[in-house]
Amino acid sequence: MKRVKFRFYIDHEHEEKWVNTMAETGWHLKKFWPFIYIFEQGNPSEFIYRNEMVIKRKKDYYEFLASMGVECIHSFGVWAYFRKRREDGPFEIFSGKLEKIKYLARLNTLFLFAAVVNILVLLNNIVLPLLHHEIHQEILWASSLNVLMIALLYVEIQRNTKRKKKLQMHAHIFED
Amino acid sequence: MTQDHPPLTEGVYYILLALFEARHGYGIMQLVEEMSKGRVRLGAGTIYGAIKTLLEREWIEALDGDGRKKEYIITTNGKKIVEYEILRLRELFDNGIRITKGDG
Repeated sequence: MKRVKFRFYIDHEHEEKWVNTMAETGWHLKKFWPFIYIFEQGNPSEFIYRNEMVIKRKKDYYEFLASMGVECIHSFGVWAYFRKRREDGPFEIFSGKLEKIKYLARLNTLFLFAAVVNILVLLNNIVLPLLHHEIHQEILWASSLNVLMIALLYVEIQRNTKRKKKLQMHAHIFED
Repeated sequence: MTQDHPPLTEGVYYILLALFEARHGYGIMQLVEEMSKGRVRLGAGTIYGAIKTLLEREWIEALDGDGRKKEYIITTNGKKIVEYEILRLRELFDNGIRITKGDG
């Protein structure tokens, strides 16, 4: 049996938590695209799920993970979801603090890039027509989406920065 | 201790120890967990990254075999690094015991 869910997550940890909560009730993630998640019914809590931004990851990475009992269930764009049997014990992609800090920094670079693209689109749609005194209602609606996106990205970058700082404080006094 | 031999991370230290015998990724993970009685659990991506870096530094090498479950083993260079690390750990240990016992 399959089930389609519609959600929007900008935060990778919140999304991962939700996917794992679904798995605990027996719904296992099969495919995902922006806003759309397809789950398949199976045994509750059989797998632990982890997501990763997989920019620059090559074939050998997926092969290595497969040899570790980690299955890549689906990847779309820069995102991938992995899973491992719960009976094999805890499952994390990264265990070191320094790696986690680097990963958060790379996520923020991606979000910053997305924010800049949105800002450029916004400027192009609003500021230029304003200068020429010709602004249309539709453009305003589209622009409000840009503004919303920029706000969400800003909040997310802040959140990741906070997580990074916490790890850095920890790294000052504790081993990796 | 000089700049030439900075302290290893716990993960890398244990990975190098695990590779005194040829092992693949899964074998490394299992042995490290066993040696540390479950305290050190290395992430799959972490082991992947460590192996890549250690291969580049030639502290470990890949053994011939099918690509899927490649085995790795420590090199002479790698063994030297482990020896330096043990010396460093002994220094930490000895000083710790000397000073705390002195007070006790």
